[in-house]
Order: sequence, then C-alpha cells, then structure tokens
Amino acid sequence: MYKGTTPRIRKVLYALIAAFALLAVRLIFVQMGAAKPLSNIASNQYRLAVSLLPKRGIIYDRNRKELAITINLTSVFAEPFKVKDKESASQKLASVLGASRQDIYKKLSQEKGFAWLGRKVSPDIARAVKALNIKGIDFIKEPQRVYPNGVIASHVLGFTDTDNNGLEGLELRFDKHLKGVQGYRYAIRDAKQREVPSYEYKEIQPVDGDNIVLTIDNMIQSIAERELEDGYKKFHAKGACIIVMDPFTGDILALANRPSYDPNNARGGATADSRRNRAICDYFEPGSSFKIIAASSLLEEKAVRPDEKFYCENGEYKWYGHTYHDHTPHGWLAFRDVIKYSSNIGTMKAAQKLGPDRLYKYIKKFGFGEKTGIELPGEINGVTTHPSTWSKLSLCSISMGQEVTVTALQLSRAIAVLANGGNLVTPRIVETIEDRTGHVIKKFETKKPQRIISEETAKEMRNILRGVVDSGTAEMAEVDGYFPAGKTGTAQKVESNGTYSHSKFTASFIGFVPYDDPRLVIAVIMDEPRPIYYGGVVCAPVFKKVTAELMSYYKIWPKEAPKKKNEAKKNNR
Amino acid sequence: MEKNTNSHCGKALVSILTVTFVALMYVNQQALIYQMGLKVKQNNDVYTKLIDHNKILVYNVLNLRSPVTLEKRLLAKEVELSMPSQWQVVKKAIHTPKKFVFDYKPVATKGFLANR
Repeated sequence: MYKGTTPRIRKVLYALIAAFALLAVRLIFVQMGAAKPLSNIASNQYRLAVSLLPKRGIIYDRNRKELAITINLTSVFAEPFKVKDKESASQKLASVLGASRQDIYKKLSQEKGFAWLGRKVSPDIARAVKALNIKGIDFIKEPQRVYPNGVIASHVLGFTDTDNNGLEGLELRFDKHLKGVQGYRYAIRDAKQREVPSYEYKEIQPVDGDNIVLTIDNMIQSIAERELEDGYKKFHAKGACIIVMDPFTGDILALANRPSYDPNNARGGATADSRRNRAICDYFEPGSSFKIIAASSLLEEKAVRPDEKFYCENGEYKWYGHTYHDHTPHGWLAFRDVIKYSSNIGTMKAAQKLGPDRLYKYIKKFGFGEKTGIELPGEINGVTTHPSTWSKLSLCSISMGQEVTVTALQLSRAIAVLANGGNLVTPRIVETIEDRTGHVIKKFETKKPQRIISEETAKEMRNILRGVVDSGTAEMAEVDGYFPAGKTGTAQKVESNGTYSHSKFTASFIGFVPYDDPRLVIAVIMDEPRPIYYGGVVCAPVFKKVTAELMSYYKIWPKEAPKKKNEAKKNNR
Repeated sequence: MEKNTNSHCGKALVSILTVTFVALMYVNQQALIYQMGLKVKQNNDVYTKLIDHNKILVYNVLNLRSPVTLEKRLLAKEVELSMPSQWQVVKKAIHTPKKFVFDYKPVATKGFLANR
C-alpha cells in the first residue's frame, strides 16, 4: 500500500494519524462530555439579558385624580477604569452633582467596574452631566415613585425605597399588586459589550403593576390637612389626627396625621415619629368622648330615660376611696344634660344602672378592642379588658373613657353608628384594584353593616349630641345653618409611674353633620395640646372649619341664613 | 477533451460566482438587518425619551394643580378664597344640544357595497 514511500514519510503519516486521533478524542469529549458547560460559557460571552422594568401602578383618589405616579429619572454611574483624568473629572462632576469632590474622586479611584455617582437625579442635573462629556461616565434610566400632592395623604399612601419596593402605607400593603412583574430581553452583545439590537432571540414582556382607586377625596383630604395643621401649630400639640368618613358606607374620605412628611423625600427627611399613622397605630384613653358608648347602651337597654335626673354632687364625688371630679360643678341634671355638659359624676352614676357586663357587651359591639379591618398596615386593637378583671372603680372609669384605650378610627366608627341609625360599618379606604386596561381585578365591597343599637336609640343620641354643640361643651364646633352634633373629650394621659398626668392631655372631638340627616363623620384628636387642652376648645374649631368647607364642597346649603351674612346685608343697605 | 475541460471550468466559474453572489447577498442582508435594528433602537430611544419627558411634564402639571401648591401660590399673592355660599351661586340650566343623528341608509343590499 505504501510502496515507494520512505520510512521518514511513513513516520510523519503515523504522527499525523495519531494527532488526528487525539483531536478526534478531544472533539468527542467536547461534544459529548463538556458540551453544556462550554456552551454556557460561550453564550455568556455574547449573550446579554436586559431587565425590562414594569411600571408601578398608579394610586388614584375616588375622583380618579393621581395621588402617586411613576416617572423615569436618569441615574449617573461611572466605569472608573475608563475615566482618565480622575482629578479633573471629580471636580467637574462635584460642581454639577452637588456632592463633595473627595467622595467622587474616591468612587472614581476604586478598582471596580461600576460606581454610582447619582441615583435618580433631576433632568436638569442629568443634562448638565451629559454636557460635561466625560469618558467613562454613563447614564441609565430608573423609575422613581413621585407624589404630586407632597404631604397630602402621605400616611395613607406611604412611600417606596430606591428600588421601588413599598415601605409604608398602601405602597407597602399592596406592593404585590402595584409592583408588577419584571420582564427580560435576551439579546446578543458585540465585542464592546453593546447590545446588538437586531439580534434579540427572546423577550419576556414585563407585566405592569395594577392601579389602585381609593375612597379618599383629594379635595377633602387637603382641606382636612390644612385645618389640622393650623390647629396642631396653634396649640403646639405633640401629635394630631383627623378622619373624615361616610357614616353609611364606612368610606374614609380623608385621613391625616401630624407631624407629617413628604413622601417624595421620605427616606432623607422623615423621622419615624412623623411617619407613624397615628389614626390607626396609636391608642389613647378617649376620655369623655367615650361617654357616647355608655349613654347609647343605657338608652338601648332602657336603663335610663333621657329626662331622668341624676345628682352630680356639685362636682365632687367619692367612690370606693377615690374622689371623682367634674370640670364644672353641677347639681341635678337630666341624663341628656349629663352628656351635654359632660358630667363625669352623672355618667358614672348612670353607668351603675347598667352594670359591668352590659357595658362591656356594648363596648365590644361598638368594635372596640379589635381591628376595624381597614386596608392600611399597622392597625392596632386598642385595649379593653374583660369585666372579670375590673376593679370596683373600673365601671365608673370606663364609662367616662378611662381604663380603656382606643384608636381614632375606632372612635370615628363608633360615632358613625349614631349617625347612620345604629349600624356598625367597616371602614374602607381602597375601592378597587384595576389592571392597566381599567379592568377591575378586585373590588373592596362595602361590608354589610351590623345593627348594634336601634334606630330610636341612635336618633335620641343624635338629639343629645346636638345639644352638646348647641349649648354644651362643644359650642365652638357650631356651624351656622348646618346643625352639627358631637362629643368632646379631654383625657389625662398616664404618666410613666402609672398615675394620671395633670399637664399632659389628649383632646378630642368626634361629631357628624347635619345632626338630623348626617352626611359626614369627622373625628379630630390632638395629643398634648398646650396651653389649652380642652377638646371643645382645641379640636372643635378644627371640626367647625372642616365642616363649613365640606358642606359648601358638597353643595349642601345652610338651612338658616347665617347671622353674619344677614348683618352684612343690613349694613350694605 | 479540450471541450470537456472548458465545460468543467465554466461550471466551476458559475458555481463560484453563485456562491459569491449568495454570500454577498447574505452579508448585505445581515448589514441591512443590523442597520434597521439600529434605526429601530434609535427611534425607540427617541420614543422612550419623549414618553419620559411627557411623564415628567404630567407630574409637573399635577404638582401645579395640587391643592397644596395652589393654596401656597394664592397665599403668596395674598388672595384668600373661600367656598361660595348659596346666595353666591347661580344655577345655570344646562342646554344639551340635539345630537346629530346620521341617517344612514345602505346604498346597496347586494354585492361589494352591501352593508355588511
């Protein structure tokens, strides 16, 4: 076969055959044994996975006005190894980005392939950095959650972190719905690591977040916030909150707290105290505003009649070694006047006719000691103890709002029972969750109210509470022509040593308007107002101002011409 | 013999030319795809930029329309507004213009022009 070939050529031939055999073995190994890992390494070198960020859902108020939206802002980053003159670059960047030159120089000098210089900077700053045209400085678009109304409804909405994860409020509670699902585009990159746009080989589209429609009315919210802010500042309170609610559906129309924060700058400038949603996360002893519970249960159980007289001991009453006081001394008072003038002694004497078990039954019926079920995160129960643990003084104390703690929302719900004719409603702040096309995914239906007191009792209580505003402790809540009704509360706070403070108070006013055909329930609470601390002086004016504006907003006109207007007209004539 | 050789050369030449042409077409097509991809990307970038700009403008409008901002601006100009009283409101009867109804009658009942 190989006749005529020299042995040297044969050797070369054998060597070549051996070499090709080795190559064949290697080829078989590469193809059969190491195919997968090697193909992965190869594909990683030329493939590129681009994250496609979903749009976070919009939060709307009940009139479809945007309360929270997402915009794309530019973030500036550096590839330090590409920046040549780091000294000059850091100086230029510092002046534009408003950061210190040393910090930027430090970032540019590190042995990393990537360093953030500014996250989500304003369009003007981004333009200025681009104009510098520094090699190694690049830009990326990132979504940023923004709140066009600033502080308005900040405790309801909450805020998100840099990566758009909800951290507080509804942003946290409905993060799963709002966030959406991230998508990916798998493409090919060139030698310079740039995406080759025509060679996408797979794309998984992102799923945008769902939109949320709230029961909040932006206009009512801003009115409530403005008036609360005025009262909070005027009386140097430690904290304050206001709730405006529809008494028939339980829809929250406004919920505001002070101190507050701007969610656009929450991570930088808000303290934990200012971020707390006091209306549902803080409990307090309600004081006299809790007398509506004792009064309603007494009337419902027919334990007293509205005109039944009680002797109020001229303001001082000893009971089991403890002396109770009224802020104004009274003699004989009809039961309706006991509530009207907020007599502690009259209330506790009446409560004794009811007994601990029946009072406790109504406290529970009014929803105290349990969460209301509102869709906001962090709601607390409040504290109500069982009569088996009560002392001899507990019945008296609880009937006038001591030894029991409540949230502002629970109090609003309780007064709504009287306003709507005896039904306990479930507060609701989220109306619907909709997808991007407007299709309703989840509807938060108004829960069927539970009847807890009769229509007659509720009506009687409305009349009694009208007297409180008309000529009782809450005259400062009167709005001419609208006939509001409500109850004041001024509760001593408990000191750290367990005794009642004589300098720290919680003032409250819970009411509804108009008293004969209630449209709105408004609760105003102020924590440690100074120097005046009476609910009727501190909270009632806030109620009055909010009521006056809201009635006009709802185009509900006064039934009587306001006195001042008549006088003005006379003067004009 | 010579004729046979010429015919072989001709076939080879045609094959080479065909392969070259196909290869060139392929390269040209790839270049076009790449160019088109770049153009699409550029257009998409412009579109995204405009959308982003629009969103920022929408945010600015919302911010300006916000009751808080309006209130601050009005207070700065010492303009105090309040909700109107009943005597300040004049109810205007809403005139609803008669809706224009297009009285459409099909011109044909059969054939291409028929109302489908």
